[in-house]
Amino acid sequence: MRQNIIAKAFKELFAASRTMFLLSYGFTLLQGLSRVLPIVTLQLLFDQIPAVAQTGNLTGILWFLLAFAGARILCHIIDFAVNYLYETYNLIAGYGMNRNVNRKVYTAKGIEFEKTDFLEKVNKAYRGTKSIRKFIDTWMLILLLYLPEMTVILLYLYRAHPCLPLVFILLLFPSAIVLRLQEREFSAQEEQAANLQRKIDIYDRSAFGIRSVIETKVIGYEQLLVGKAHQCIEDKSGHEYRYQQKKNSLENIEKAIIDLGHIAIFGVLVWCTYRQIISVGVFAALATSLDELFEMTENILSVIAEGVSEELEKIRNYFKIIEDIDSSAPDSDQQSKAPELTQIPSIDFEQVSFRYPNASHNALENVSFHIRKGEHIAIVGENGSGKSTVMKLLCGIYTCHDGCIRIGQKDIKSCNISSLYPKFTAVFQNYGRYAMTVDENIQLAETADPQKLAAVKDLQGLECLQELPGSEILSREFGGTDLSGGQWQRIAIARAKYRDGDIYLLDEPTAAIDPNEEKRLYDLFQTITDGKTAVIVTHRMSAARLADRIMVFKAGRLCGFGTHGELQEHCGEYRRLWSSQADIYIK
Amino acid sequence: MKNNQNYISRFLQMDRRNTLLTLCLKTVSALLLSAETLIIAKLIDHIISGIAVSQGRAILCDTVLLALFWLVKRAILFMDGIFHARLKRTVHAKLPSYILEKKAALPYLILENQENQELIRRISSDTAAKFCSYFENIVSLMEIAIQLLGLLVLVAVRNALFSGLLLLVLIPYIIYSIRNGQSSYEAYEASEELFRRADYYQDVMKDRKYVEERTLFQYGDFFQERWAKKSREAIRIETRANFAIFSKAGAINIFSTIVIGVLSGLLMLTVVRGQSTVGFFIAVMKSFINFIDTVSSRFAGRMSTCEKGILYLQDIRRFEQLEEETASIQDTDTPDVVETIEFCHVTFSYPQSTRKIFDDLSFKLTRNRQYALVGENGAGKSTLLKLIMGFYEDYTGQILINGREIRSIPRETLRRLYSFVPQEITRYEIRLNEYLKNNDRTRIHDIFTTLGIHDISTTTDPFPLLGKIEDEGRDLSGGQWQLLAVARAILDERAVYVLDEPTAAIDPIREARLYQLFQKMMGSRFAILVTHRLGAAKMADEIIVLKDGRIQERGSHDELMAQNGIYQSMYDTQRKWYET
Repeated sequence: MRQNIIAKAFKELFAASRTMFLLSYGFTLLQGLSRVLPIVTLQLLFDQIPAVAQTGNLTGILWFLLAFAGARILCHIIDFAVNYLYETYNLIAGYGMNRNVNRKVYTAKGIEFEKTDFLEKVNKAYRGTKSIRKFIDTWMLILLLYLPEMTVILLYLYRAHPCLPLVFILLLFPSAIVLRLQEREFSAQEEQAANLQRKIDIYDRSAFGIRSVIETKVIGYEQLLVGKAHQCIEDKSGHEYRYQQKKNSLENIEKAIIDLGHIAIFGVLVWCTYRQIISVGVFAALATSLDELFEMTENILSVIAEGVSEELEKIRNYFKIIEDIDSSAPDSDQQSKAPELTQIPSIDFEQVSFRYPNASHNALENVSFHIRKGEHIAIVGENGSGKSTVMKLLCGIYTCHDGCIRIGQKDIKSCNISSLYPKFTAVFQNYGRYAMTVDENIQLAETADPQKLAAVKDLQGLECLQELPGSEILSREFGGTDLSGGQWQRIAIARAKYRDGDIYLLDEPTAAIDPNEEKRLYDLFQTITDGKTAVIVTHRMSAARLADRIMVFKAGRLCGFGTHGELQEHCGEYRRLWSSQADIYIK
Repeated sequence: MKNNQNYISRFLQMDRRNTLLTLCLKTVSALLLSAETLIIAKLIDHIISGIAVSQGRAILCDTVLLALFWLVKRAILFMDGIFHARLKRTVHAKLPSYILEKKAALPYLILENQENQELIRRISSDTAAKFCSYFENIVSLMEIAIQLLGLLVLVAVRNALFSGLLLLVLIPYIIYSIRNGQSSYEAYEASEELFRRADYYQDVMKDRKYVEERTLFQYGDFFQERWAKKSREAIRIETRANFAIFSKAGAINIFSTIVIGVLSGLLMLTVVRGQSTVGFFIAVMKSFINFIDTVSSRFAGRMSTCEKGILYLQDIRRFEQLEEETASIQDTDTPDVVETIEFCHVTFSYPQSTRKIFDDLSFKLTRNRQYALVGENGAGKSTLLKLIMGFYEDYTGQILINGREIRSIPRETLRRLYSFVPQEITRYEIRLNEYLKNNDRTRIHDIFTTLGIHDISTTTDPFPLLGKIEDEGRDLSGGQWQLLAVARAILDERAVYVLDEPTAAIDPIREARLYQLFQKMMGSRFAILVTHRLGAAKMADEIIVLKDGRIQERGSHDELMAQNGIYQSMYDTQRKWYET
């Protein structure tokens, strides 16, 4: 099973960009093999110096100098190649893997996003793309860089004198001890500092954020909030200081141990040189390269010690998550076989019940109704009565577990999604304000049709859209302009009209709008739904009256369905809702 | 306080002692490099010169000396670490507080400005950490310079001319490194921008808030294409930038090898001429190679950080130069009862705008009356409130409270006259009693019960922590926060009630109930209510209709309905909907 995971990770990464993968790691191998050259050439150079001091003849030594310089330059060139190729490869591989995760996320079923752990899973999947790269890269480095590097250097040492490889063992000891001591994640402390910072930000924002500062100054919270922020700032700095001290002590012990290791090795080398076991050149070259050699052994050991198991665990998670997300998408096999939807004569809810994940009771309880083609239906009810849930079930974003929803006479569950969704169009309450141009915001993924676009902008109530800047991105963050709430609302309406499905779903905005604007929006709704089937969720009882029939929801149940007159007579809840708004005007 | 040009002087100002100690110790440890080189030189010379026993002792002495030397260096660095940590603690405690104090002193007009908001955002995140890292950067560069100088002096002692030649070769190397650092900062700006756009598209594909539109409108593939295009372009640009930066870095490395070659040649000449020993040659080469290798790999990065540091400091100075609110006038004669609020020929427009929000506006409001201020969106209702509460001071004409210009009343006193319920309620995550500014449990309980939020304060936990700032805190809904704000206004019992669209976040079905509650609670206090819910305006003693910067109509509901003007037509539009 473990083999399977590593192989999967490998395949996924390799598939992202084959040439880059091979080039990048090919050069890495070259890097490993070539790192010993500067040490060797330096040694040869140093060996010549005593002779030069005596004879004063410089010409011979120039070749050695050139060899040393040449070796260094060769290493620089290979380093450059490795850096460039690796970075490029990293970007391309990241792109490929992210693309895959993107697709899995946006094809997931709507209901999944109501589950809190789903969002966590999605984030982990994205982070997993980095984990895989890091993991495979680490192992490739060990195999292609560190091991060859070490082998070649050991060979060199052995050739210089068979006892020298023992020096290496002296290198290993301090590094190994240091790694044992190495800080476990001080992540708990990081979390605390982050927590304090979060508090400071909250106090800062609620005190002096542009939306709060007037309230703060009039009520008089400045001193209180600044005082609390001060306290957190002090706590945080004290906290970080203690952390820093701990970190410092640990680092100093580590470095002291390495220093001792340095001294030991130096001593050994001095002794060997004194006893003429090795030449001065070898001594000098090794002394010069000591830091580099220490770093190399530390890298190798830390990689091995760091926990192959940790990274493996993350990768195992990644694949689990990818498969999880995958399974939450609608079944593609079933989809391709599902019957196409050709026309929508009617909509039927038959004893539909629905519950949100992790909810204690049903959001909708045994709801049944029949909507005829071309009808305009209004849905009213208090907050939490289930109004928007009905909308989402209607168009298939959610699926119900009890009961049946029919479009035409076909059960929605067995329909082909790509023929179901296009039948609907909607203005959702949280319509998107996308950072694109006006036209792109209206068209979204529909085919671009300039005539159709012009016709939509010509509708009464949407003419203001013609005056909006055509080429600007509608987002201040990306250097464009932002629109007012009213303008965005109209874009959302134009968006729905442009798509022009057979069934219109409209969710009324609740933000503070003045009465004239309200009237204009409702007139607009009437205009675009003329001749279509429409379902509108509304808080404004007066608007509900404009519909053909009205559905009244209370606590997830349909407690009234009929015309205004019928409901006034037979539905107590409707009467209550009506009078709570009408009484102010009528009394 | 700290209007200084560079990081070092600012740090000296914040904590003189620790800054000086750190700087001194770093200087000393930098100089140690040269000392170390000399010791190693002697050691090698002794090794080469003879294998006689007496020399053996000398070699041993040298080795022990070197070992001690390294330990001393370690001790110095250890001490430096201590002072550095203390310095960081001071900065982390002082700097964010300093910035916060300055923010508190900024007038609303300055904060409203978009550019200022962005500036404030830029300097507010991680200020202390950034400050410290830029300072550390400068100290590192200083260390590098001292080490280099030390090595050059070593060579100069043997042969001044050669040292000069070496310097000549080093200068272009240093300049080239600096330039590379600066250009790398710019090279990635373009690709970073593209990646930001791509990230936005990725957000749209995965964020929960778009899920309905994304699913129904099936735009996943569409945004994936956009994401892919932007990403590929960003990758193209970044790879090109990488190529440029890495090849320059490679060139610098090659240049460094050339420098080492030149040094090598010059040193060899000194050896041949008898000006220095073999040991000296080897030791200096060793130190120089290690020095250059450590430096080259990080130099470009350090220079680019330097660049960022300079820009950051410019931002900080720009922030410090923002005009603060002028000190409040000290005054003993402060009003506690507001008899009248009067506008006399007030004309006001926003800075850098010619459009007049108010044009020769005059009216008078008196105590114990409830006023409803109505008008279309953008007519200036909220701005009027801000003027009354003293947030804009740049207007012509006069605004008088009890006959006194409000600009002559101390700002804090002026603001304490109002019990304010804003349109957007801020969730202050503090204790209930701190929020209400009141400890009287019985009164609180009574008012909470009338408003229907008595479950917020229980007998076991009368003053809970509002909001999830700590785990023990309580999350409240938008409606509960709104009602809390109303409770706060009632408890405060200040001279005038000011309510700005107080039911904005509440759905129309509950809104009607709330307005009836207001009526009950406010009794006959001096109140100004901004609203477009004409059903609520109806309940006021007097309605003021604001349009085109002036008061168009004024009177009670019945009077205005009789006038058949703006108010009447607005009211009828709303009423028509409910007619049977």
